[in-house]
Amino acid sequence: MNLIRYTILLLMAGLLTRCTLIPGTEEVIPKVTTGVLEVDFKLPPTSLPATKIHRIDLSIARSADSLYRGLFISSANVFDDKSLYRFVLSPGTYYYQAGVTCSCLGDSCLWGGFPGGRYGVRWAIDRVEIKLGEVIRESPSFQ
Amino acid sequence: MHKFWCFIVLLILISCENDVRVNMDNDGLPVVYCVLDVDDTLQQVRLAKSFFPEKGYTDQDHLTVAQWDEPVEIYIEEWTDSENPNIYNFIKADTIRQDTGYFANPSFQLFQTAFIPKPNIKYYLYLWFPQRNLYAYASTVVVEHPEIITPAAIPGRKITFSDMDDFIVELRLPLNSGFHQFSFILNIEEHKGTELNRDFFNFGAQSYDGNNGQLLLYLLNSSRFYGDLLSRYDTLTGSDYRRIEGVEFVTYSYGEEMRLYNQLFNNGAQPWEIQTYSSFKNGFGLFSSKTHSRLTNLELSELTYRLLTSDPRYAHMKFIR
Repeated sequence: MNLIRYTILLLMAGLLTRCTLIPGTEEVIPKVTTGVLEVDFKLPPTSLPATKIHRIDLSIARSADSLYRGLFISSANVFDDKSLYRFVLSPGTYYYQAGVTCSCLGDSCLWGGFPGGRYGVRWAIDRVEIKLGEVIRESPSFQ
Repeated sequence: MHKFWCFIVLLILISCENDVRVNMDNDGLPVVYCVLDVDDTLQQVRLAKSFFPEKGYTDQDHLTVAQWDEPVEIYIEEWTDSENPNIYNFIKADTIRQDTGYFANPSFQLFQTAFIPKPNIKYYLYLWFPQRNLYAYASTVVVEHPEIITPAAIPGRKITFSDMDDFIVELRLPLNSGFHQFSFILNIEEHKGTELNRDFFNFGAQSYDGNNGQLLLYLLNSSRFYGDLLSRYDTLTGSDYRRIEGVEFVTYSYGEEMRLYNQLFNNGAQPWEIQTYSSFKNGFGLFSSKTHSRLTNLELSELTYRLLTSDPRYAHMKFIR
């Protein structure tokens, strides 16, 4: 009896190991062609109320020249209550800019480091290298 | 057994008699529309007569109305405290054409009064018909303005519609509201030869969210933005061009009655044309309120302009910066 059981088990094991996928039904793993840039867009530390500091821009360009000329490949719709922004990009070098402004009245913004006072803009500009299949996290550092 | 039959006969003799009126009076029913506007000093009531229900009325979207030809007194009570209401009397208005605005139909007579409705206050609208010795009335609590969180009119913050990003509208819904419409309006100049046309491109949505005081998040899809533009604007040739001269964001919030009115029977061309919900007693129609908010001087981003002006998919519309 045991002999029959072992024989059946051996046969099944043999069949299983001989199984091959039908041609054309192999699992297709999509080829990764992009990387991800995550920008942790934290507001710069200031002595001003946090509700009066606003994110106004987060744009990405292929080169410093394009960034300067406003030839962006992507711009995020930025929010006061959202700090993490994701961009799916082809591998390569990119330049990004992040801008914040201040809406305090009087000269508070000026003394808080915003050039020109109210609605003056502080910028953070940097370069980032996107690698295939990798998530790169950046935090803009404001001057 | 005799006692039982005597009891039954006695019951029949002393029982009440109620008339059940199967058919309506043939002198018609008042049809009244009033949407109080928190942002206006003039409030309007539209009044007509309907013989609704008429034969086959369930198959129809539109209510057939006729001119109201009986005396009527119309007034609104404003209950700011529990003792003395403020009363505003309506007078018949002839200065505004009756076939414009909401509930457009020349048969509606227009009545006006001057006051600014106060948010979160209860208002009663009464129509007194002396010939019929009858009041038609309805009540509503007036809606507040929503708080527009995004978009925000912060100098430097721009609006992007691109393949990589959509736009999320954030509104804090006002009290006593039930129906919201919001949209970006692009003011567009169209230069064709020596001709200059102005046009408004409206891109938005509506929501029946009634979670008063809570946040409404609504995603406006970028591909729909460009798709709507393409279906609206055709190819320009030669030296003709279009220019976006301004971007603004507008919202309209309506009271709960408008939500019921639209949502329950929203199967017609215009929501206010479906005449099945009524907020009136002894009449038919709608009494609700609305607010209007507007953010001007918004800007589209560089990327959005570049897509509009240079991308091969959209360049034929010939938008310029």
